[in-house]
Amino acid sequence: MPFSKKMKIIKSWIMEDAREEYNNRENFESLFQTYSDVIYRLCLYKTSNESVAHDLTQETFLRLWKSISSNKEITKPKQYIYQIARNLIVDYYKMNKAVSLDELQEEGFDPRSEESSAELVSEVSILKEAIESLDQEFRDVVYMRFVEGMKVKEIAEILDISENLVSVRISRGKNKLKEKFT
Amino acid sequence: MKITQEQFNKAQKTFSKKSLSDTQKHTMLSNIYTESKVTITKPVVSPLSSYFIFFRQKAFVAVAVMVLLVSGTSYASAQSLPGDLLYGIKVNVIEPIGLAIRFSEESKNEYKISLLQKRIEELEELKQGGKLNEDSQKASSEATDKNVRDLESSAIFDEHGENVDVAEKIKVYNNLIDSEIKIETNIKINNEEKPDVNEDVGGEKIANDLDSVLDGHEDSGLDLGGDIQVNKGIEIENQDGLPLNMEGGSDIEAKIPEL
Repeated sequence: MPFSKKMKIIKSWIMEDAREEYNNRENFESLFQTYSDVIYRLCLYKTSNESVAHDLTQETFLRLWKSISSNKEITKPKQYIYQIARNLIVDYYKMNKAVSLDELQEEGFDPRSEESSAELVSEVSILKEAIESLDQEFRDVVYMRFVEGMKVKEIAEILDISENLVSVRISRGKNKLKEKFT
Repeated sequence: MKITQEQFNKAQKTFSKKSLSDTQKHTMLSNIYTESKVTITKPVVSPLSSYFIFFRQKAFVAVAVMVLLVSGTSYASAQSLPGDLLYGIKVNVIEPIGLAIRFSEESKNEYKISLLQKRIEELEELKQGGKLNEDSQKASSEATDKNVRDLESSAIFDEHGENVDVAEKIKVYNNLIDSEIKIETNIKINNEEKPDVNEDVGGEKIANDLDSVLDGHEDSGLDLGGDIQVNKGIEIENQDGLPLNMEGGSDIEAKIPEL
């Protein structure tokens, strides 16, 4: 095969790779723009720490990008992103559980230097106290519906349950939540 | 702590407005791409495979060249004569291979005898080309000697312990080569020269010669007259078993037919 023809083939492969990467980036950035704030708030709600929430969000989307760029087929991206974030939050709590606050302070950790404002901590604690007091099955649905303002269809897609079940849980969760308010 | 619905609604409104700034998002994306470049090892097979094709082609060319070299050498050595550079390959490699691919004893013997014939032809060719020298004779003799040793152990002999074919070929070969390097063998070779009665000393030929002499006189217009007796004496060498019972130095008398 002549050298020029080889170069032409290599060039076409490079172009194909570049086109594929461009498409992947476009797809990824679209998901990032749509869900980065939602994931950030979920992490913030779960950890009450803006810095940790920022890192967890970044890690979530880094894993998503790795999956997309390696051409892994992602059929339900919303569900996939939520699943990554939740796993990371669980990992974060597992990791921090093993280290006591005293140990962290000995290593120079100062909780007061954290960026989270008192107002934010207060807001998160109000929401958490109300929602986390509900049964497990209502917590995610109520959070998504009343904090994130998601539609039934979207919640059903993320939690991979039927829309009917989502509606039932929203209704019951709302009633239970009202019961808890003074 | 008791929470009112108003507190919940207020916290929910404030919290839902919490978001990453554009700068944070930009930095986050930049970090993600940078970090992924370090960690992602995407297998790039396609461009490399072209090089594999390139190397495969090179390997193919190398193999083809080797095949051509080997076959060319084989052909050239098959055409070589004693004293040539490739003659050793011919007698030590190619001919033994030829022998190895023959399976019956009979075909092996036939092949060995054909090799003996080949040695004779080689010598004749060298002689014709004026290339028969000490080195070429020595090379030929060594090859033939090896061939004859093989035949001594494997040739089929008749009830008199002879193999006329092999013996004849060794005899011819020895006549072509210098006496110092003649092939010595335990195969019976009959060295007696049998006279050939049909050679040019036969009576019939003599009579024909005489006729042609007389015919010449007729052409010249010379009148010899009737019943002329011409004594034509022909000198012949000592020959045994001549059908006309003539002795050396005797005259042959021939009657000239009437005109």
